Amino acid sequence: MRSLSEIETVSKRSSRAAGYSWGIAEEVAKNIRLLEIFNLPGVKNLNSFFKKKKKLSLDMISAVNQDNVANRDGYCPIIAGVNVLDQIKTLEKLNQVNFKKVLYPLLFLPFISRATAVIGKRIFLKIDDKEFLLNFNNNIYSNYTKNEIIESANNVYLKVIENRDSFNDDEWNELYKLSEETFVEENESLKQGGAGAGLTDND
Amino acid sequence: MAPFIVNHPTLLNNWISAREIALKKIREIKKIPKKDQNIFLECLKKSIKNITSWNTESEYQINKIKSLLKDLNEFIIYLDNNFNFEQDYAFNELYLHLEKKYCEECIEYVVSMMMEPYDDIVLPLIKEMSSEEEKYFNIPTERTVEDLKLILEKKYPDILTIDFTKDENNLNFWFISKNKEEPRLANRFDEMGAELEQPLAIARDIKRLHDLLLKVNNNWTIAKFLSTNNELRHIVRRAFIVEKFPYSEIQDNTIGKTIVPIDMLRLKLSFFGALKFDPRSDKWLRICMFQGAPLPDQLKNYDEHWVYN
Repeated sequence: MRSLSEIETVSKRSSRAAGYSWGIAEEVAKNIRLLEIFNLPGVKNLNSFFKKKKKLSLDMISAVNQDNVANRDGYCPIIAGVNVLDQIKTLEKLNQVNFKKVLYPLLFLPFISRATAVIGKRIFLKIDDKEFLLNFNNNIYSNYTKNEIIESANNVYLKVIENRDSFNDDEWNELYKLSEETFVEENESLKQGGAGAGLTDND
Repeated sequence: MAPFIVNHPTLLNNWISAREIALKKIREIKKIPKKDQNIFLECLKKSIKNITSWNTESEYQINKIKSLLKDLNEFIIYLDNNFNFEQDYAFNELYLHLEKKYCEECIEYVVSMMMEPYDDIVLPLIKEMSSEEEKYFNIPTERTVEDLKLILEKKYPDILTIDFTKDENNLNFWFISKNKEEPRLANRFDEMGAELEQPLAIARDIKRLHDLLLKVNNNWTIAKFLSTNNELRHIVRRAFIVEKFPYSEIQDNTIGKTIVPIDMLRLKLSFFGALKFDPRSDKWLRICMFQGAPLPDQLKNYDEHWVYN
């Protein structure tokens, strides 16, 4: 089995050989490592993309908008991904960003996963019918688990999910009340003699 | 191997930082106990024979070794005859004397000997010497071109004065050897392959980036700048790392005529635990890691400074 360091090094060098700058090659290397950690077929898709890249007419986006429509064969997943990552703090305000036709969209995914860590918010990513919930670059929930090459997706959109509690106040209060059963009622003696004071155990 | 320290700036920072902290703490010791004086002196004197075993055909290295030996011998005479270890902050006085009188190799050599009596200072620093490089990988693209320009001007003042249109400053290129899959250095004007240059010409690329930044609006975000200037993305990332880590950069031109790769190699290997260095030229060296180390049946009772035996 190949180590993650090997995967990263070979991905970086091959990306450079495929014509990307060293800085972008570094990004791709981190991404392929990430895909493989998440058990998604990074190496397989990167290899396939690079084999076909010369024959493809790639759309190279620079400024990302709310709606982005490719005019040629489709967006380069690497250039589109780099720019989404770089511009995520602006794009976050748009709430949702759409791409019409992205080539090898699995290579686009890790940029978005990393973007969740930058903005501290989850992002829901939809690649045609495949759904991914990207959680702060720590894990991915998805309805897609196949080890296959996805050559293109007609519709890709990402939606920033605002941070909010997944429970209501009643549920919280009930749980909090139960947690209080670990507390000791202070009598006068304890109030005077006890060291330290604070609302939570973390103080 | 030499480019390792170029490729791992935060790790390099943490290594050097540990060395600086250890040296600072040793220089701050007011009274040096007799026991510590003796360990230092004994290690220093015993270690000299290691240097005399280094053989090289490189004139450059022969001269460096000679100069180191000469300095160390003079230094030992000074220690034996003129230095008062009972004075306050004796190691600090010694260090100041070293800086005034001796070559850099000698200073570094003696500093490593100063650390020998002080496991209590050195050992706690070990856990600070690794680095979570991933944490610093993302480029802070919300920062501005002006921020980046100021970082370059503050962190690379000497580098920015280098004229890379002169061949001597742009003489070499780093490449990965197909035969060995290892980094190598070659003259770009004599050899083929410069188009496959590795991104290790930090000084040249810093200068290129600075020149480019002078032509764009200071208020642009880095995201906007990168959207059309990704060729220098690797160096933009680096500059933002160097901003946070004072010892993360080699402040030299790694492709210039006077580059001595072996210096980078020795630095790296010393932190990897290499104990004896045998420079073979200005490009490579042999090292030894465990020569004379205690064997399993000797581990109950052994000289902690066995490396100098």
